[in-house]
Formats: sequence, structure tokens, C-alpha cells
Amino acid sequence: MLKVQHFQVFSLFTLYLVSSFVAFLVGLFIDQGQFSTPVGSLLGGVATLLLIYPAYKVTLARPHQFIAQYGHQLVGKVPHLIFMYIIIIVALILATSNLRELADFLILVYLSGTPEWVIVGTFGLCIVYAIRSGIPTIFRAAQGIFIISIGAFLIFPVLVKREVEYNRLPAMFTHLNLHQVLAGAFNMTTLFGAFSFLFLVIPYLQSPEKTYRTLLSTTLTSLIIIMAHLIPILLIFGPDLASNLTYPDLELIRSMRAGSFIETLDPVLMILWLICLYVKISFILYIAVICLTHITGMTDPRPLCLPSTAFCCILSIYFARSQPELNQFMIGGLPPLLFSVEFLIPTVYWISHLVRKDPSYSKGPPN
Amino acid sequence: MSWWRQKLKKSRSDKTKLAKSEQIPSSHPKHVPSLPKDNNLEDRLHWFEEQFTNCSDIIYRRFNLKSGHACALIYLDGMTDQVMISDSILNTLITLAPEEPSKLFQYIFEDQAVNVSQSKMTIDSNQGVSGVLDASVLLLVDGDHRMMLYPAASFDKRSIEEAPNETAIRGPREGFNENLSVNITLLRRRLKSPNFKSEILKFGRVTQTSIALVYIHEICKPELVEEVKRRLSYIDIDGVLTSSFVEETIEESPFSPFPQVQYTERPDAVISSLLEGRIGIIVDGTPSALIAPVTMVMLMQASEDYYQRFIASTWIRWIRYFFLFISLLLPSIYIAVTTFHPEMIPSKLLTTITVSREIVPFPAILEALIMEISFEALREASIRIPKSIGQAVSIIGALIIGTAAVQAGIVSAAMVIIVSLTGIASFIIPNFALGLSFRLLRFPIMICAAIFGLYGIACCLIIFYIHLINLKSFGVPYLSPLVPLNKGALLDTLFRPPWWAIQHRPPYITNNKRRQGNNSRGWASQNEEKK
Repeated sequence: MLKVQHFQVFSLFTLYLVSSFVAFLVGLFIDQGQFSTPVGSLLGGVATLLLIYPAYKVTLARPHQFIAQYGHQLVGKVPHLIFMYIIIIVALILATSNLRELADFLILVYLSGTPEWVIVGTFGLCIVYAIRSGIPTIFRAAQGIFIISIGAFLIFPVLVKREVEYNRLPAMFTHLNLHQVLAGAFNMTTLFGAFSFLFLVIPYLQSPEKTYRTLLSTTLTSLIIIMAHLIPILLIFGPDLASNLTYPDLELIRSMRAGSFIETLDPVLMILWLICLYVKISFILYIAVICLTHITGMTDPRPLCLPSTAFCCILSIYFARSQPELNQFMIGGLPPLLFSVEFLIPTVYWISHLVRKDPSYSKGPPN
Repeated sequence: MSWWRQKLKKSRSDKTKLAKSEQIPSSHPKHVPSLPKDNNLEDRLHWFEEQFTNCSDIIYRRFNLKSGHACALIYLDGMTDQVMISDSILNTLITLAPEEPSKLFQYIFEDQAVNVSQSKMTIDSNQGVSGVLDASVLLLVDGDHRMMLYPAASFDKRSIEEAPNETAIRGPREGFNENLSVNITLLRRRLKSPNFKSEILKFGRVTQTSIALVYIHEICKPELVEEVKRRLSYIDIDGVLTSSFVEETIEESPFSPFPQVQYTERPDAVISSLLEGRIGIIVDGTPSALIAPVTMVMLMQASEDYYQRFIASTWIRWIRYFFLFISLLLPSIYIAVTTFHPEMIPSKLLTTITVSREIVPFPAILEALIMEISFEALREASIRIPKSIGQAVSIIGALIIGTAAVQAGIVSAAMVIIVSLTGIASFIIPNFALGLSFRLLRFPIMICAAIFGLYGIACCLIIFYIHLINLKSFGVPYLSPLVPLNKGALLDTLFRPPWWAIQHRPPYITNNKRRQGNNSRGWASQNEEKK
């Protein structure tokens, strides 16, 4: 079995978290958190590290096995099946919503008039190829584009520094509101909680006992990049305008001029988001596919790749009637679902593991 | 397993069964009926004449020894050294007079009376036939069933010349030629170590082509040598004419457009690869060697990089990588930007492009395809056209037709610049096969760019990228050491480090990682201390 290196985990999750937030969620989060969003985001990021501890501990007990395969020994067959199906459904919904967000973005900004199914279909083909290739390929893909992508994510805020209105800066401290901080923290926790998906494929990780350290560095890096976008957006547009813009980061890029050679860099931003979201959607879909493979007793996940992706692609077209409806789901319905999948279900497994203290548990590979 | 894979597997197994069931007539010795067991010369000569029926180049030379025993020499005309046959073999045998006549046969066959190096005795008729075909002289003596084979190969071969497709400004000029022993000698001359191994294997039922596996024991992984041998062992064909046959047979992903084995005409390139722990495959009759495993980074390196000063070589490497992307993407980006994203182009430049495209009746994609395909045709023609008129045709094709096409309004001047730049960029890639892959892949990206703009380019790049991540050459990931990241080998990727800093071999290729001592510039620190 090809192993996933820690740097690859770091790369994938940094791209995952940064691209999700910067591309589609920043406006929605600012809407709820206003000037308290940065503090809430920082708190949420740190809280996630505590909340994923049960998922980490329970899967580390058997690092050479998938929890989807042995979870029934912990919580019983029926609850395990229910939990797994919830995880699969939520992963599929998450992938679908991201696909829909991406298709909406492309149609709205660059390819107006192009049928949605064409865009979703072509992107779906790329995703099928990645998930058929397996999880090491997805992680390697993330690692290969990491430096360039992160470089681009970091350089954009630097290019807009002339537009920043520094007189708004004190508001970050004077307008702190506990309710808004908590709302921001909760949203960020559900975003960063994607770490717990990693533990579903723990046998692929190289030295899984060091994973927590990797996730710590991922959280710190992601938070720094997120802040590098979030704070300029708040300072340039203010919370009201930013929350009403569909793509605040895109507007941020549009507000700058790179020089006389290239008029605007926003098509480059489109490619950047596209590639990062590609890695993200591929990972989530793979999680759904591998869990489905294990609970159905199949040995090879590849036969499920095309049907699962096709399902997501078709569902994404009918997923929401409009952008506001999708936004409502992303900020209203999805976070509680994610919270339960990312933190509550692993906690149930962990508690069962602690209660049972099964002597058959060992860190060695299965015979 | 998908249905097409199953079908492919079934078709392969059917073909194997068919091949086994068919007895393909060939000159392979294993199909030759056995030699008569008696010691009669005439019977045995008759048997050999039957084997070589209608072979006008086989010479049968009958003669008698001083003792009166009848003998015969069998050899190939044109491939053997006639002077050596008459002076060293015939003359010695005719004048042979052992002190004890009863020990004549022992003298010929065991004491090797004829002083020819590498001569050998055999009783195997198949070996006799193979030996004659390998340009040895076969001696048959009446009254003894044993045979002697005297190597006497001598035929015209091309001299060692400069590698025509891999020229270097600094560094050795020698290139391989078609002769296998000459090619191995070119390597041995520089690798004066018993650890340099060259194993000869024969393939091709009719051609019996010799293939040499060359590697350095203790640097090359034994499992790599075994894997190459294992893959080669599956070759079962009537003829192996060039190394491309071997290449296509042993590579992991035959349907990939990317080369998974490197070929080179330069012995120094092979030696450098062997010192990294790779393995070379040299096919008799081919003036180049194959090297495996290979990564994309290796294909982007030229021998010249290591002969020039490292700072200049690093700069050239960057230029090469930049033009790699130009050769792949420039026409597509032009199509996407002018068709879908004109807002990216500054207004003055946009005006210039628009004005130049105003009289062109075709969309950008059609214009690009016309130009690219014309350029490909010119390039292909320039290889086939005789050298004496090649230059004239190139001038007519590139300059006159290009200028006329722009003036006639068939293509825009901007497109001519784009295509020319792309064409030049594709020649910057040091490995021809890799350059060819990128030339090929340019077309689907252009079509996607015309349909979806930058989104189409991104989708195409994603697919190629995932393909490259999955691609392996003898188990080594094709994008190593970038993906998966291998920090130890990163230094010699985008940079050409100075020789004294290249202390390790690529860790993903060999287990013997240490290449040189800790401080090849130790004298410099000594000088510092003296000061």
C-alpha cells in the first residue's frame, strides 16, 4: 500500500481549508461574525484541534485498519452502519455543494451561457480520474501544486495593500461581540473539522502517531493565510459590503492592477481556486467511496468511483434553485451536519472504545 | 476489473496461446534436426549443407591434414577475416604434425593447436550453426565428432562519430554506433571497474539480436536488474531490429504519451546514469542506448548541464522549464485569452491583436490549428528532404509562405509569432521523445481552450497532472523527486549544483546513496587555516 507522507497531508489540508474559506465562505462567515470574524476564526481553528482528539485516539488504536471495517466491534453493527451512512451522505453532500458552488462561480463570472451540466460534467471527469487513482494520488496531487498555490494565495493580499483602509483596523478589537465570536468559531470549527475525515483512511498514513503534529502545523498555516485574506477584505470592503458580495476575494483581486502587461489577474484566481477545489472535492468523494466500499464488503473502491461522482454531479445541478438558497444551506444547514459527523460520531466511537477496553486492540497490523 | 481490461487480458492470453501453437519457421538452432552421431565428415558436412541450403554466403572449405585426415571449415563470406582464416587457421592446421600421431585429435580439440583467442570446442550441432552465423569459423575433422569454433568476425562498421542529435559544446563528442561490442567498449573505457557489468542476452527468433544490459554492481539495485531481465524475458518475436521495440515492450504504461525509458546516443550520458544507479540497455544494430528508470526531471536535463559552469547551467535549466510550459500552453492561452478573457489583456495590446485579427476570416482555434499543423508538416518534411535542398524548402516554408499567409489575411501576425515561438520552445526540451509528447498534447489543450477558455486548459492540465502522478518507470514515480517530495534529491532538480555539492545519488533509484566524500574542496579550508 502506497503511504501518504505528512507533508502531503499538510499540503492537502492547507489547500482544502484555505480554498474553501477564501473562495466561497468568507462572505458568509463575515455576515455572521462581522468584525469579530478574525477572532472567531482563530478560536475555531484552535478549538478544532481539541475536538478532533477523539477521532485521532480511536483510529490510532488500530492504525493498520480502517474504522469503517472494525467500527461495528466498538459500537455494534446497526449503530455503526447508521453512522457510516451518515458520514457517506454528508461527504456526498459536501462534495455536491462544493461542486455546485464552483459551477455557479464559473457560470456567473467566466462562462456565462454555458450549460451547467457541461461544466459539472467535465469537472466530474477530472474527479473520477483522481479518485480512481486512489488516495495517495490525491495527496500527491495536492503536494505538487502546494508551493505555487500557497505562493499565489499569499501574494494576492500583498498586491492590494495600497487599497487597505487602516482606520478600520481598531474595529477588530473594539467591535468584538461574544455572540459573533462564537458564531465565527462554530463555523470555522466545522470547516477545520474536515481533519477528522483523514482518520477514516489512517492506514494510508506514514507514521500515523505523528499526525496530530502535522494537523497542528496545518491549522497554524491555514489560519495565517486565511487571516491574510480575511483582514484585507474586512478593511477594504467593511463587514456589510463584504457580506453582500458573492465572491469578496474575487472583488479584492479585481481591485488591484498587476501592471501594464496583465490587466487583471482574476482568471488566474479562477484557475487557482479550481485546482484547489479539485483536490478538496476529490478527497471528500474518495472518503465517501472508501467508506461505502468497506461497509458493502467490496475489496476494490474503483467500481464505485464513477457512480458516486456521477451522482454528485447530477445532484449538484438540482441541489439548490438559486445562489441565496445554496448560501442558506452552506451557513445554516450544513455546519450542524458537519459538526455531528466530524466530532460527535467519532466521540461516540471513542467513548465505546474506552468503555470496552477490548484486549484484542493492538497497534500491530492484523494477522 | 473493467470490461475492457478483461477483454485486453483475454486477447493477450489468446495471442500467447496462438503463438505457442504456431510453429513459426525460423533459423533458430532449436528447430534444427540433430546432427548424425557418427564421425564421418561427409555425413556431417551434408547435414550442415542441408541446414544452410540456399545460403550463398556460406563457404565450405575442404582440406587434408598432413596426417591425411580430411577436414572442413565452414564460415560466412563477408563477415569473417579471410587473412586470419588462411594464415592462422588453415596454415596452422595443414602444417600440423604432432610428435605422436595418435594424439592428433587431442592436440586439435583439447590442446587447441590453432592459436586463436576465444576459440572453443563443442559437440552441440546447434552451437555450431549459431557459431557460423555469429561469424565464427567451424572446424570439422573426419574421425572425431567434436567441432572447433574460431571467432573470426570482421565486417565493415561505421566509425565512432559525434552524436548527431545530442551535440555538446563542451564535453566528449563520441557517440554510439551500430556495433554492440564497440558500444560496450566505449563504456568500459571510462568505467575501469570490475563492478561494471555487461550481460549479453539474445532476442528475436530469426534475428538473434544481442542485447546488452549494462549496470554497476553495488550501485544499481539488484531487484532493478532482475526486473529488467524479467520484462525482457517476455520478448518473443521473430526480429528485434531497433531499441524502440525493447522500449515499448518493457515500459509500464504503453498507452501513455510520455517516454518511460530514456534513450541517448552519448556514452557519457549512459555512464552518468549508471553511476546514479540506473541500468542501460544497448541493442545491437542501434546507435543509441536505453536507460531506465527515468523521471521527467531527468528528461529535462542535458549532458551539457554538467559540463558548463553550474550557475550558467542553472539559468539554462530555468529557461528550459519556462519554455516547456510555453511549448505546451502558449497557443492555448492565446486562444483562451483572446476568445474568453480579453479583460486580461491591456487595452493597447488588445487593440493591436484585434486589428491584426480583423481581416482573418477564421476563429482563433482554426487559425491556430492551421498554423500548428503547417508547422508540424514543415518540421516532418525537413527531416525527410535531402540536405541539399532542405534549407531552401525551410526558407520557402517558414518565411515566404508565412509572410504571404499574413499578407493574404489567412492568419494573423500574432498567431505566426505564437506558433513560431511554440515551435522553437519544443526544441529546447533536451529529450526528443518528451518534446514530441508535449507537441502532441498541445492539440487537445488547444481544443479545450477554444471550448471552455482557461477552465478548459485547467481541466486538461489536471488530467495530464494526475496521469503524470500515476505514471511510473520501473517503479519510480515519474514526477520524482517533486511528487512525491524527496528532499534529498531536490537540489539537482531546478538547480544544477556544483559537482562538489552533489554528494548523494538520487535516493529513489539506488540504495548506495553516498557519491563522494564529505569535502572534495578540503584544500580550500586548509588554505583558509594557513592564512
